[in-house]
Amino acid sequence: MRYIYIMIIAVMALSCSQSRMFQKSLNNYNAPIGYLHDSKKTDVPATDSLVVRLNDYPIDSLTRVSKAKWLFVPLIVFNYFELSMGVKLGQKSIQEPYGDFFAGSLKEESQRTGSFGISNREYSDSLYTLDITIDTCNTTSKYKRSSTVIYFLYYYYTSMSEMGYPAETNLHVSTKLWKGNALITEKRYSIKRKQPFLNAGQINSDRLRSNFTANMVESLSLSTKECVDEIVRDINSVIKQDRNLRVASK
Amino acid sequence: MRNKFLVVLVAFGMSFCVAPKYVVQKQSELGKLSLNHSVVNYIPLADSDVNNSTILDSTYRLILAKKYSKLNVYLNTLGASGVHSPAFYLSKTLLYITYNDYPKAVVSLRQIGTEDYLLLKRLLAIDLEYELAKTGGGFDYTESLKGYQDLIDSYPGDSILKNIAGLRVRYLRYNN
Repeated sequence: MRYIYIMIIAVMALSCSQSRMFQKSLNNYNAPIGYLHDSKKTDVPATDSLVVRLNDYPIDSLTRVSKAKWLFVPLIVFNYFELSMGVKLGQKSIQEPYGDFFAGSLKEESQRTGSFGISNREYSDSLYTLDITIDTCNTTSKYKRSSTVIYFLYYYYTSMSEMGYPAETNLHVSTKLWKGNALITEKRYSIKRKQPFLNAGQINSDRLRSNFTANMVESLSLSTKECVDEIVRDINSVIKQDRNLRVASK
Repeated sequence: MRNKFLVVLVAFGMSFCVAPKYVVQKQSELGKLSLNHSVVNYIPLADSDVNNSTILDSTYRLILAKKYSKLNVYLNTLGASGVHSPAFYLSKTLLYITYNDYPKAVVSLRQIGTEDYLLLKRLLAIDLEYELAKTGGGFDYTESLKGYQDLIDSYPGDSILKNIAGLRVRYLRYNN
């Protein structure tokens, strides 16, 4: 009985150190977050100005790895050890600060399809103010490592394998559009996205971890794109309605 | 016998060394492919360009059949007989890209020189700039992204180009 306890403690210690080592290794990789704007540029004149105030969500600085579950099959001729880890994307794995990227994407999309001009400062002629709060910004994934040892008399065979799973992003953003001191509209955007993992065939663990990081960053990038596109579309429609009201009231 | 075996072995090894990173494909064929969730860098050839040029048609067929040495001989023969048309230089560019010989591909691309193959020239210029920068260690993702963005904005109705550029950006993200 004592040996079983010792074995369980040893396996738990091993899984802890493995997840810690994996976290250290994973933070050596990073990926770019910028995306391609596929919206068609419109030539609508930006008649109204909009001041954007972004309340950034503090993303963890490091990509965190948590031990999800482990499995150990200790047989006389066959040993199998499997460790599944949960991974949460941190800023260190993204090449650009996320808040800057969000603000930049919104500005770029507004210039392409917006009927308003974004300004950073509040001038006296600024007609609208948009408060953006990133409530949640989580990108998570799962990574599995397994090792097998088969004993045969004086010989043994070992094999190790690693596997990454598709990343999932949960992005919640609240917006409030003001005209002077009057709140015109408010909305909450909830983006949930699962990014398929790239099937690159037989690759080494170094390459797999790099792809794994890129997959998480890609998931966040495309979720942000979806959110930003929706925000700009909605502001366009609200501003259009408001403009029509102004014209009608004259 | 031993030498023959070595030659076969080296040739087999080299076939892996020159595995092209870019896949030349006619636009009509690209339209049939599902371009999601892959990272293949396609080089789109307009069907009309291939059909109207014997050089480009032969180049396309030989690249498709992976007969790169034959294509090299074919283009060298054309060059020696004084052919220096835009299709000839485009074919040379495609051959060098297939060989992953990017410095030579850039030279050939510049020699196309005329107003022919405008879209393709712009696309390949961004690709080659990336490949050279990557080799030199000075690759800037934002620069390449901007290049592809400008290109798709110049051809807003071209959905195939939009997909191809999307795949290129994905490729850059996974190979930064």
